Amino acid sequence: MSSSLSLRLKLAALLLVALATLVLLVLGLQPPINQARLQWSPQERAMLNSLRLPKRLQPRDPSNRFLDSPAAAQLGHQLFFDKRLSGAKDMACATCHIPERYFSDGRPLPIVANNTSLSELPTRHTPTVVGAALHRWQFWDGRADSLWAQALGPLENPLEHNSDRLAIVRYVLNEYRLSYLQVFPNSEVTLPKLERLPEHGSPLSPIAEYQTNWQQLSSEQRSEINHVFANIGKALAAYQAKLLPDDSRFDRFVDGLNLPTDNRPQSYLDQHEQAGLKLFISEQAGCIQCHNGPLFSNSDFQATLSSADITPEREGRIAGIALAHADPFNCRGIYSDAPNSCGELDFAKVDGIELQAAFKVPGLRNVAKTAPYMHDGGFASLSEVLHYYNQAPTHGFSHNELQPLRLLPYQLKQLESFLVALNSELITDAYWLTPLLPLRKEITHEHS
Amino acid sequence: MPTIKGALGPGFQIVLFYLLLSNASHANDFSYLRERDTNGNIWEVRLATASPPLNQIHSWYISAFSSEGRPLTGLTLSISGGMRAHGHGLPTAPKVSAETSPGIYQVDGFKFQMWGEWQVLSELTDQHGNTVGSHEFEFVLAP
Repeated sequence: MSSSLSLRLKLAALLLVALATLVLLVLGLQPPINQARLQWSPQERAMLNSLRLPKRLQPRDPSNRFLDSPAAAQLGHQLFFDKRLSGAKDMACATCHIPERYFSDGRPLPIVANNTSLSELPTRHTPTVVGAALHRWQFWDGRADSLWAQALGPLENPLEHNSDRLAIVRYVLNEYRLSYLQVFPNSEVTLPKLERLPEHGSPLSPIAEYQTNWQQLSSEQRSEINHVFANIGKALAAYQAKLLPDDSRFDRFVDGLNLPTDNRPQSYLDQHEQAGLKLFISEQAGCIQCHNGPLFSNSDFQATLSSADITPEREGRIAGIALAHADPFNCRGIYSDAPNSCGELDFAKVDGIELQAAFKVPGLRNVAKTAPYMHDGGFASLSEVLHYYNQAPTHGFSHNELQPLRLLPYQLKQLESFLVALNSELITDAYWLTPLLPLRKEITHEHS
Repeated sequence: MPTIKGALGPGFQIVLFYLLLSNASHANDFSYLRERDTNGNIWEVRLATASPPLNQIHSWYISAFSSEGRPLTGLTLSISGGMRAHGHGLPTAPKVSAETSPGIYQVDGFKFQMWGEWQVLSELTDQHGNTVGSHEFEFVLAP
């Protein structure tokens, strides 16, 4: 009898546990059963409209008057895919910004140049360049105030292209001379006399000899070289300005909502995705605070503290804005086409705890195609990112901009499904998405 | 020195009430931002657009007049602010570029990078650093 009673008690206990588990599962993992069509208030509709992609996307950058130049985009297109631009002739922009991967690399941290003399490893994840021309600041810490200034960074970075300014300028003026002169027609009189210059030289090179070579040039020679170097950045920016996202299902859903008699919006986003969208713009989730506007990014900098492995006083925007001000290729510099209209640079905050460990807010269009995530590539999936924001650990840092969201598991899944609904094709013609093959060998002055 | 809360007279509260209740298209129409501080000084904001744009550098024209209508001129205007509810400041450091006419100060470099309730504090000081007037504009940035 006693063994039978004990068995019954055990069974009852098991049943209770199973029931409790089931209740938790229903509460936590499943949305409340509500098949009613979601309603959107006028305020919510206004918010959705503010997120809709404009009918015509037009990147603007007064500091680069070649941004809209078709010839500059053609030159930039060739340079973007050209591995011979790198020190070891084995790495192009497209090596990490891979067109098939939405111009990102699918890795937590980028691969390193084979010929690098540095032992350190990269610490920043490769962001997509799609839509980059629509952002005001570039790099995760905003150390460049334009896309053309950004494009110059990797070329001389010992971990990336690992080339040097003289080698890059020499290569472009030899291999692309006609294209270059077509884009920048008035520059021939001031072109550097390459035959009088050393093979290598750069103010930023870790190689002492290259630095010495640079220091021994006259200021006029340096300026001529820098001018060509800046133009290379402007051509690369003109190419990347063509890489823009097309409408997603979300945008079509918003269009449908704006037509009072249209019943189709429900077919663009299902109930699950709409619930995620409602959460996205809600006070509770707060995603919309930073991921606002048509790019789902305010182009600002936030301390998300996704990694404890950081020195807040020296990393993030606090470092980036100092570098941007010191950059000779910034909007204020002599290579800029609009040195008197640099509002972003002129009025940017340069100090304050808010800038510590703060990194650029990435856009979310096609975010599902650009895993892993965050400035350090620390999260492998969107669900990991959402889980992190839901928990919002502080890692002991005094400055914390995140608050625990207290969302239930099913709500995190709804948010994730909405983010996937931001996937789209590119607006860009397929011509621009592959290298021009075979690369046309131009007749150069040196060869003629 | 007038306090921030004290500066919010009944007129402003009506305006704020209106801002919160009115529909989104003109929820933050700045033509309504004309307020008195506790000293009776009259503060006004004018923009090139009906409301501040999101995520864009732009200018404000802040005017300050005494209760008798005398412009508070030749003073130093300093700007601070942020989102109190979020615990952060302005994303930029706005600066006065000119006193375009007596008592009207052009302030460049404003930017608001989030929707929601913002506070902008304007403070006028004389050459000795004494506060002559101070006022907090509060508004809801909404699409």
